[in-house]
Amino acid sequence: MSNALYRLINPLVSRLLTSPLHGLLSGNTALLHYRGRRSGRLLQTPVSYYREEDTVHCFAGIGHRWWRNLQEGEPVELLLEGRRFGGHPRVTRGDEADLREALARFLAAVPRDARHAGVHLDQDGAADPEEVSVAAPGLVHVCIRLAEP
Amino acid sequence: MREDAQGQGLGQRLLEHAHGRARSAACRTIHLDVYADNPAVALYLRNGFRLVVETDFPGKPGLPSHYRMVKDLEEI
Repeated sequence: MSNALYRLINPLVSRLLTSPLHGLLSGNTALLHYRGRRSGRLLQTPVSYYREEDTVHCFAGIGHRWWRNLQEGEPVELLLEGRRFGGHPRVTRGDEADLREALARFLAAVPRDARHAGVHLDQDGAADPEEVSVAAPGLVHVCIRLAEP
Repeated sequence: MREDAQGQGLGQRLLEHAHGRARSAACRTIHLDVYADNPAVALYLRNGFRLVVETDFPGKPGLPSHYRMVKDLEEI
């Protein structure tokens, strides 16, 4: 997708997630609110996610900026399916087995992100383990334990 | 705005016109969305807009962040 198209669509994504029509996206896209590590500014980022009970899992490319602002012990807020939650993030990176397993589960739950990660899914929606191993070192796993805001 | 039309105060006049329309309609705040690399951000700040939230989009590294700015008209 071209930069011009990204610039056009991106603001609509965050607007949609905060609107009554959020259901069009909010099944696998959440709006994450956090504070800038240096600036202290209120920041937000739309993120693909999958949820396991009270834990939300997201992945980011190492080259992206947003995850660098997340600090363990610093609370965040998430708008999930139109509902606001507080949460505590934990960021892990590296070619660890649990990161690869979480990535495989994430891609099975959010198949649209498999292409961005360079991972193919089989007919049952399972991620190719070798491709997951190749993709994992370039990603960070953001795990957010939910709490009421 | 086209480059050859910049620096002539057109943005300021358009903003003042928008303020006038908003006040006539009894609006209490004006919101706007702008990318951080837009030179108009300085104009908005000079005119009393403040940044309320910055959106960092994950799609492509290198894209500028996006500002939601607000001005309270009652403060004028």
